[in-house]
Amino acid sequence: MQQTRETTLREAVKRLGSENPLPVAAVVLGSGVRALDHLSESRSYAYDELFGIKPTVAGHSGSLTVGHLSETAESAVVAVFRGRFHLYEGHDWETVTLPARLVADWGIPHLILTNAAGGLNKSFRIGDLMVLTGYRDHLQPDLARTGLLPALKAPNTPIDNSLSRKIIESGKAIAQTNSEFRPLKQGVYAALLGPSYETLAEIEMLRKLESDAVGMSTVPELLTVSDTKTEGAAISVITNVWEENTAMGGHEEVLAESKAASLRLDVLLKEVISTL
Amino acid sequence: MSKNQTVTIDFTGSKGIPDAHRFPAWDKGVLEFIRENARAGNKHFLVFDRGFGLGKAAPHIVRDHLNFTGSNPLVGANDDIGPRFPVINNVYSTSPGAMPSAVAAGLLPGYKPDREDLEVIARLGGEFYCYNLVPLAIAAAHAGCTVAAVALPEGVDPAEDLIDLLSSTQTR
Repeated sequence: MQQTRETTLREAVKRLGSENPLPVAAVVLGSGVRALDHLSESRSYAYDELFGIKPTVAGHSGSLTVGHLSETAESAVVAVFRGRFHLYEGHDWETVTLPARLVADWGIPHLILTNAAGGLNKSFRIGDLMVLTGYRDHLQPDLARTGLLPALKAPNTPIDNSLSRKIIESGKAIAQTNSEFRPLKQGVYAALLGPSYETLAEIEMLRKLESDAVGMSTVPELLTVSDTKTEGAAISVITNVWEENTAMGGHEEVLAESKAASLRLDVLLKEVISTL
Repeated sequence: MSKNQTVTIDFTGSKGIPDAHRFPAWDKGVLEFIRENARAGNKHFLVFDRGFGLGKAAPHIVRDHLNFTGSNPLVGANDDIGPRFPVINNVYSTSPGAMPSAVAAGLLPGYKPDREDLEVIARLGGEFYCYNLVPLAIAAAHAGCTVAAVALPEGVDPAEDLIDLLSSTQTR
C-alpha cells in the first residue's frame, strides 16, 4: 500500500511538472471556502485521477487547478487544491498529507492552507479571517494509543515565517485602502479529530489553552512541509463563534458572512501570491 | 423492541441497577446497541459508569464531558443515522433534583492517570474521570438521543429512588 502511494505521488508530480510551469504558490481551500475561481490558461485534475482517491465530505470537490492569477502571461502561476482528506473520514496520516507532499515534492516554494473554523476568541465575528500564528496538534495518530493527555500537556507551536508575515502585512495594506476589507485577525488554531463538534466544556478547555479557533485539519499539512523547502502558512475562515447562552446566527446569516469572507480571502490571496 | 422507552446501560456491574443492559466496557457492540434502539424510537439512555479520582465520593450526574480518549467513535464513513458533524453539547439530561453534577473526562480505557495527569484534568475542567461514558454519549448524540449519566465511585451502588428519578427524567 505504502509503495503504491509513493509511486502514485511520484507519477502525479512527474505528470504535473510536464504539463505545467512550476507554480510560485499552492493554496488548499477547505470545506465551503471559495477563492481563486477564475485562473487563466488553467488545467484541472480530479484527486481521484492524481491520488487514486477522493474526499467523501460535502463541500470538498477534490480537484487541483493549475493556472495564472490573471490573463497576463507574466502573472503568477498558482496551484489551487479544492478540498482535502481528513483523519475523521478514516484516512490515515499518509493519505491526509498527500496534497502537501505533492506540493513539497514538486518544489513549490509556498503553501497557503485555508480552513473553515469555529471561533473561540470572543472578539471574533463570523466571517473574520484569522492568520495562524500558532497551532495545537491534537491529531497525531499516536494519541489513539496514548489518549489525549500528552497533547494537552504540550505548549502551542508558534508559526512565524516570511510567508505568514507577508500575509499579515498584505492584510494590513489592503485594509488601509479598501473599506470593505475587514482587518485580519491573528491567533492559535486548535486541530481536533472530530467529526463531532466540541462540547461546551471542551470549548472552555481550548480557551484555557489559549486557542482562538478550532477545526479538524491543516496541522498535518503544516507539519508535512515544515522540514522541506516549502514554506507553509494558514488562514482560518471563522464560520461561527462559540458563545454560551447567545443565539447563533441563522443559516442565511452564516452563508452571507461566509460568502463575504470568501471574497476577502480571494483579494488577500491574490495580493499575497502576486508579490511572492 | 418497544418505542419511547428509557434504556438503561450499566458499565459498573452494580447489583443495585434493575433492568440494565450490562456491558463490561465500551466497544462497537455498544455502538450498535445504541443505534438499534435509536432506530426503534428509544432515544433516551440512562447510563451508569464508574467515576474515578478528584475526590468525588458520592454518585454524580454528568452535565458535560471532555473527550481525552484520543479517538472518536464516529471516525470513518458516516452512518446515516445522524449528520457527518453532529452537535453534542446538548446530549446530557440532568436531574431536576438536588443531586450534584460534574464534568467527566473520558480517558483511554485502562489508562491510569498519575498525579500530573490529574492536575491537568482538573485544570482543564474535568471533575472526575471515566472510561466508557464519553464515546457512548458521542454516539448517542449522533443518533439524536439524550443521555442521563451517573458516575458511581468504586464500591458505591445507586439508591433505588435515584434510578426512579433518572428513569423519568427527559428534561434538561
